[in-house]
Amino acid sequence: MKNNILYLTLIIVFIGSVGFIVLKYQHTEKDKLAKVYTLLERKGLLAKTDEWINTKRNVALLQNKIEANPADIKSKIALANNFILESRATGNYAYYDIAAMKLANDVLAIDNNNFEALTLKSLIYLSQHHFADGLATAERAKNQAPYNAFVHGVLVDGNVEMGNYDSAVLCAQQMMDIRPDLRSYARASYLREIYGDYPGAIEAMKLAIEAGAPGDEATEWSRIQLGHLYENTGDLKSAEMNYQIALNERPGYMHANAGMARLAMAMKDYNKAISFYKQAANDAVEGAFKEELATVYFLSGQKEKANELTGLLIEELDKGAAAANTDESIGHYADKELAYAYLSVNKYDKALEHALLEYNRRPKNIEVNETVAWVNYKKGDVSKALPFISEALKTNSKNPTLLCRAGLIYLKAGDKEKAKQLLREGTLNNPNIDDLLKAEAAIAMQQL
Amino acid sequence: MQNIALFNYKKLVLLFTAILVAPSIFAHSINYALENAPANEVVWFYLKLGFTHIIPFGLDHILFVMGLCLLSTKVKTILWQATAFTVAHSITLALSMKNIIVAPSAIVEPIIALSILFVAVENILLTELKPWRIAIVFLFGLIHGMGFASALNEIGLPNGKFYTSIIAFNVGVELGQIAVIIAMFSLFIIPLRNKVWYRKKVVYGFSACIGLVAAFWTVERMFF
Repeated sequence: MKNNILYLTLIIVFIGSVGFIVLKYQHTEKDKLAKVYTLLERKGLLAKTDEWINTKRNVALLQNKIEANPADIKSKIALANNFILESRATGNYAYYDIAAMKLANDVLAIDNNNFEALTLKSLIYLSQHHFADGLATAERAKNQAPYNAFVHGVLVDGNVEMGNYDSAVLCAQQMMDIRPDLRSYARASYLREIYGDYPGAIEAMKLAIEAGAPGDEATEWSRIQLGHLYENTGDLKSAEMNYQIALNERPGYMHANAGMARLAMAMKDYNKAISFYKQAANDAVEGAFKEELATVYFLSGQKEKANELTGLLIEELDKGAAAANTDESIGHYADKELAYAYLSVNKYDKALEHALLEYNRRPKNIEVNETVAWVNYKKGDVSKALPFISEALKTNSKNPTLLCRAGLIYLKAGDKEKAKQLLREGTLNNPNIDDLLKAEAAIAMQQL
Repeated sequence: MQNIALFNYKKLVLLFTAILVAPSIFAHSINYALENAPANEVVWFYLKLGFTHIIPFGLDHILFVMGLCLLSTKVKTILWQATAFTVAHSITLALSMKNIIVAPSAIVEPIIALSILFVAVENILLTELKPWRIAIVFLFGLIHGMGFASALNEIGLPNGKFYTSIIAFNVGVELGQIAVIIAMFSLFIIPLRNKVWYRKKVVYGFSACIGLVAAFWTVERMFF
């Protein structure tokens, strides 16, 4: 009798608890839906620009309009656009992507096929590394407006990330035909780089910069990309010039400071590199540039600091990935980044696990194949690395990091001729690549 | 009065429907790497994935199956329960992966922990297996299936090989469960079931430990 009562109590408690869980979830969801995202205060030099004053004014205006009329689609789209621009300016993608996604979903709840909302949604998906979803959503948007250049740009990005390079080239050409501007030239540059045409990539990126207004985030971002192209071809002076111009046009621009840090690393001036990275991190959202800083700490002999920072980075990336894998339609997939982070602390099995997770999502992407190959190589499994590195080389990319890694893998596999050719190409003109890789490549070259 | 009761009932149904049916929010991810792989590779991949989802990574499912083993010392009884559990989780796993029903992990995960706690407490309260146990296990299997779906979503399923991969995953899960049952019976139940202290030490001991861990998980998954 006593046990029967207890058993009945157990059932009642169980049902009650389930009810509580469901209601709690509903309450949380309601809060999420009701949450109004606002601008977060900028830090450092970024807070002292006219752009910030304008952004604050625009956002306040749009928020007032939305408050007055919650069905105001136009203002919601404009606000989402502002949030996306702010994410680029501050590097705080985690916050602003969610804010913009909420607005895009709000609009789609009112108008399921709204072109702007679909385009924004696809853009946010790509930013969060949900590449397949981004591509599919961009295709939907393109069906609404087949001659819109912007959506073609999103399609180029999505196809590149998914490894559909032929489709990416086609979309880029269509984009260029519709509207040759900064965005289309930048995409042309990126594709030329993927296909191993560095002079062509540099030329297109210069055109992109010329097409943009100096000081705009998009223009200066393109200038940073140009600097990076120069780094990869060993022209560090031109790279420095571009980073300096970007810093003049957009004071404290974090990507320019990061570029300067890389150049300082090339000169083995690690203190200067740390200082630039810290400056970059100071203006950006908290936690940015951890991976780069960890590398400098490691190279300058501060291994404890490097490991601590990498640990924090892994924790942060894992949190984002967990959000992406559990219940959210958003959350940052960061398995490629996690693979490299685990590799830097010699956790090879974890590195491989994450590299393969990313590979499952986009097996045709050359960078993902390079990651899986490199992790296998580091793990000592060169036979498993070979098919992946072969796939990574399929576009004839002349990226020096890729070529050096490929050379080392082929050398270990016993193909000395191929190794020699790849290492020679990879180290041609002394490009600015990771010091450890450069040293490994130099030793290998001596053996050949 | 009757109308109000009917209204509340409808509201309750709507509430659960809204939670469980949300196809446009969640779309299962696609495993592009295995799209062009031969069927045997796909089967092996998902079979291993299903097995490792129980051993060693699925401690919650291991504890659940261990809990099921404790109330009866007969292999036949546990096999019936395991079958009910398998049928149930196969149904919700397939439906979830097809986006026909989708439940958020914020609901599923705490209920999974709660189901383990329920089985553990039930083992302590009851002296023998009741006929409705199989229905309860079936119900819990439905919930666990939705949990498996979120794990499988991380890896994704290849387009065009949906049923092959999902069946292989289920078989893998099943093999993992059978391995737990075999371990429980061969290590504890068969050697110790005739001891006078079997119920007091083995059933109560194991159930209390499982219950404590499950209670911790329930709170953790609900609030943290």
